[in-house]
Amino acid sequence: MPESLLDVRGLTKHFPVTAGVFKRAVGMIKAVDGVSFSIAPGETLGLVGESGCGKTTIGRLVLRLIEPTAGELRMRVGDESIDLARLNGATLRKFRRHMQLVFQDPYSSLSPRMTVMDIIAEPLRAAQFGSRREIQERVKWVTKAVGLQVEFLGRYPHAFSGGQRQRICIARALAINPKLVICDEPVSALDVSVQAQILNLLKDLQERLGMAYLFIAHDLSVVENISARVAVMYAGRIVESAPTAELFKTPAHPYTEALMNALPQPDPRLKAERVVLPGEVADPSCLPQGCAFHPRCCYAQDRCRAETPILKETCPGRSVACHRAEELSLRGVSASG
Amino acid sequence: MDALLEVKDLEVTISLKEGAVRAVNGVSFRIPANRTLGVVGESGCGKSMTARALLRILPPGGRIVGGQIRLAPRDGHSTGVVDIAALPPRSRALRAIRGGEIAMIFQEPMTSLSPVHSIGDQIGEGVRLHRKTSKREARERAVEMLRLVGVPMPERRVDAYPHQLSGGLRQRSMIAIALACRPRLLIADEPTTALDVTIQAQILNLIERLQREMAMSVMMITHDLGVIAETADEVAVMYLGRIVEYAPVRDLFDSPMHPYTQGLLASIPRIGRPSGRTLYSIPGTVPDPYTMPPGCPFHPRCPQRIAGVCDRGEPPAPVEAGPNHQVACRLYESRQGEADDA
Repeated sequence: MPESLLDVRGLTKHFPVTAGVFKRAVGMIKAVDGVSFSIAPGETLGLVGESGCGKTTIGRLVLRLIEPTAGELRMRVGDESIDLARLNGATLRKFRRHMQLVFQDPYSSLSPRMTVMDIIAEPLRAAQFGSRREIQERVKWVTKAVGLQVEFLGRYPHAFSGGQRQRICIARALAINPKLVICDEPVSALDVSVQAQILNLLKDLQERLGMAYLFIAHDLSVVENISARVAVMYAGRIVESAPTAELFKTPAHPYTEALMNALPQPDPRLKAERVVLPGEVADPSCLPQGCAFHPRCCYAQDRCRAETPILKETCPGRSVACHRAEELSLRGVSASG
Repeated sequence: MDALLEVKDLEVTISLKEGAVRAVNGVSFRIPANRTLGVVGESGCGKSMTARALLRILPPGGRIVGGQIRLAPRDGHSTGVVDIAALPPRSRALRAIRGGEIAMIFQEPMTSLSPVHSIGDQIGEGVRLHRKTSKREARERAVEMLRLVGVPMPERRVDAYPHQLSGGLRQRSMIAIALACRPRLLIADEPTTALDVTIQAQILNLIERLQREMAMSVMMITHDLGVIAETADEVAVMYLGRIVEYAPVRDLFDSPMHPYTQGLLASIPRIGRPSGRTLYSIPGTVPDPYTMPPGCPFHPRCPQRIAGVCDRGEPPAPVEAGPNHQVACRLYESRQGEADDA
């Protein structure tokens, strides 16, 4: 196994629920609860789950935009392995150049008062990349790399379409040559035809520049297209992680199976096969006893209602958190058409 | 008239600061009773404007400038076919249609529900308007509707406010409001786009079940071809205010004819395919409505365009390309000509 770029161990984030004038803590939202994963250099890990499962919180924790409650975030730069969770102040700022973020909504994540030139140059200036000239050259290079014309650099974001704006966001993220880019739902606000352009661009840039992606999305078909490995989250925990092809062929967690089969397929012949999961996504402020998924799970037994399953490796590269993982044989999706 | 609703050459303009935009440009379709018409297209293609025109609830500046929206009378009623497009805007007849004959559900249940009225009051409002019932009866009807759409504990939820409900329950409540007066046509404008995948499947199943039980037609507007494949009987593909292809759902997915439809189908990632594969993508982006290209509106992005044919003149008119399969594309016009000669 190659040395990983990012190693996350037992990452936890609890938000207190406060009430009253004195903001007394009356409960705890376990947004992320003991999550571990690793990303190799140049690899794409897809993180998939429904709203409220904690996938965006993980992205923000890795960037240290919010403080983790517990856990380790080791990142390897050169020969050093640094625990991001312990960095502070100036050292953290210096380290941030190795990781960048692309947001979901390209309309609200670009300042309307800055030209595209300034937007893309900002991280370079913050990181003291070089002289004015060097920064300009770098901006021009990265603009071309994402498929925008250099002539547009003097314009403001309002002059661009959604797809072009997302290209600007990607250019801004890639400008200082980061080792890890966290993509938080980068295509879900885009039209279908533009979505394909952006996915292809992300893959193409990764091939040329070799950065790793943590790709956060709710859409399994998008995640499947771009990721080498996928981790499925439910209620703040990873319930299954596996290489992409294996996960889709033979899912091992009932939630993964349900997620796959709930996705509407663009094929009218598959219409009858829809499996509908009952109930709603678990509320992270009052999780059910035992396995958080058991109230919606059609395979649940007494043990699932009492004992919380832990994520265990079932075979090299695959882990699953389900008491019945070994006995169940679940339905995946096979290539069709 | 054998269909429930027949739209003919509908044209809608919207006047904005920058000038007038033709949002819907000669759209014709029909929705038979108990069937589902899927309308698919990217943002700005006019699919929502078409739907809003049917209820005459266009945004400020929006106006129907041409065409007909013909609604068949209810069985056993002697009133003739009504042209919704010709009704006076504040007329009693139009108000009777809104909610009574045609109802609509929207994408974002949080913004389209009133935050200061309980769910029960919002369901009851329509019932009291259309059915002239008492407050108590309206409340009973609200509880019954909530039970029908699968809201747990309807007797208690009837007094809840939208912010107390989850996204899935809000969308169920909105469906309850829309269906409380048993409309004959339900317009669903991106009803599941804001919802999680597992909740989306629940809502799609619910709409399908209610359609069967209440014998109504559905107009399903979405950008998601997966939703179209699962729900629609016939599909209209829209691009820049026009229907570019119209076909039964299987034909559309098996043999798409318009290059735009072909591009859309090729560009969606499909589950169960090997990852890392480069997706087909339609080059360019949807042009803004002020700079509509001459000729076929799709020609600047079309890989099959014929220079000197597609980029000039009027936009191509729909031609019959198969049984119940229409396509508006120059590639098929010549074929039609040959068939006529023979």
